Amino acid sequence: MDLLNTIIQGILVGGLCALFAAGLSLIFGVMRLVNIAHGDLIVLAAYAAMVVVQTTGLHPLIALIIVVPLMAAFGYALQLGILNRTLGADLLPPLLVSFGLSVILQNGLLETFTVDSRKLNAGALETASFTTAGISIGILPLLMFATAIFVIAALQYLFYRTALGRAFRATSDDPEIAELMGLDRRRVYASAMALCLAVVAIAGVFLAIRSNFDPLMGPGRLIFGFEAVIIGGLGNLWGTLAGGVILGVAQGLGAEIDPGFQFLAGHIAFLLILALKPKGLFPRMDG
Amino acid sequence: MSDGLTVDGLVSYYGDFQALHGISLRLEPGQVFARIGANGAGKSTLLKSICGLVTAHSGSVTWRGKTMTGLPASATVAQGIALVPEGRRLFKFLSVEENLILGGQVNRPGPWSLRTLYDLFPILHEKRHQPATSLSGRQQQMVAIGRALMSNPDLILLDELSLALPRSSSRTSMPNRPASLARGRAPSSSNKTSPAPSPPPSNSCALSKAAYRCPASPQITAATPFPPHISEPEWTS
Repeated sequence: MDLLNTIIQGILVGGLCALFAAGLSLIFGVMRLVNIAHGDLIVLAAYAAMVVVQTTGLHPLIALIIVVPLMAAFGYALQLGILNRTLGADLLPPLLVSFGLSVILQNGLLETFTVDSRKLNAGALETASFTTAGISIGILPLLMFATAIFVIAALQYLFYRTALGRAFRATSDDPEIAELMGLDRRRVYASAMALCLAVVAIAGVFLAIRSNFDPLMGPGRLIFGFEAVIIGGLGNLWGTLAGGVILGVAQGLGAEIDPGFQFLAGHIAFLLILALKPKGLFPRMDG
Repeated sequence: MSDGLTVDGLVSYYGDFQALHGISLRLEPGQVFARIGANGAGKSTLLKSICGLVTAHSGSVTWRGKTMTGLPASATVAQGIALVPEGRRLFKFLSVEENLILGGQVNRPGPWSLRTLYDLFPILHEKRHQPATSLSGRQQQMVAIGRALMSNPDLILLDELSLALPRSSSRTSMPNRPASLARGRAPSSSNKTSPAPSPPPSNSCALSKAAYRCPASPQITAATPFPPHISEPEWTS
């Protein structure tokens, strides 16, 4: 029963990993950009939520109504103003620029908010739980997991059923010809980054409710996001969810053996899958 | 002020390689114009320069009195210029129908819609939900032409239209074109690997070293009569 409990908790935590990873997967899929600053953007969203909560007194989850559009607008401007200039045949410039962005974000947050770790208070939601068949399930982890499924389903729908998604897929496939169809690739990329940071905002708020956060924890979130994307297979959103769940379960099982093994177990699971299936568990069929 | 397309002294480079050495030509509405030339003569580069995919080094492209040089590629389709690119370059992550919809997303008014296009190419209606690149070469070419027509262009540029098609099918697919061109009232400019396609262009010209050398008076064996208003395009060397 203990084992089953650990696995279920791990699955629920995996939802958060998947939320970290979904935006990363989206950006790589649309513009072949590996965004090193992704983790720091999650932390930025957490601080943005903190400021909103402190100034308005809203519940952290309600604050999403403000933080999501704010981050999306920031993403649109970031892509148009900086990242678009780095995209080209060479993969290195965007990598270096996003690395620089990561350093700037970390130090900017350090200067503004100090190194003290913070946390968002979600009130009774944090400890609420129910028990079925002897297993206690927290409302917050369940909500995170449900949100991850909802976000990925929404992204999937947007990608394959809407005009914006069609523009994303066409531009990803052949940017030159997409231009001839009247799509301005700079704006298509900016829309993708806006969407990515909207998801990042959700991930950041859940991160801030679930655990302490400080300005320097971004790179760690980036690694989890990367691992979830790679395990699931690049460009496969449902695979990313599966990757998050696998990481969450591995970490849960590791922590069960020894609390020090928690993150190590996740990394070992990632390395094992990378060694056995280098393309991930669910590589994209087309392409 | 011309109603058509004027290319004046166009020079384009691919990196350090000069692909176009000062091209000038003039096309009026209703004209069909073909250009032939060896590999590397600059046929595709000329078309890409007209629609903005290649930035001109010097010279100009004027379309209906408006300077197109320097305009981004994403703005040319709204001006009524569509390209059927060499090698088709369909979107492989998109279905046949999505490729066509994307072609028409600028919403220019005109005779072409999914319905009229499926009337022209019924096979595409049958296969509309398949990935575009799963079709046969000839059907893919239909999608590429359809994608360009969907924007209801006033000028359609066809690059290597018969490439990768067996000779027989390139013959059978050609008769569809005069009707479609007349419907779209589109002047067109096309690149040909082989001369003497049917229907014959009203004028053709050989490209050598990417500069017009001869006023080729083409041997037109007219199987399909052309509208009488078609006249010879003016061109200069």
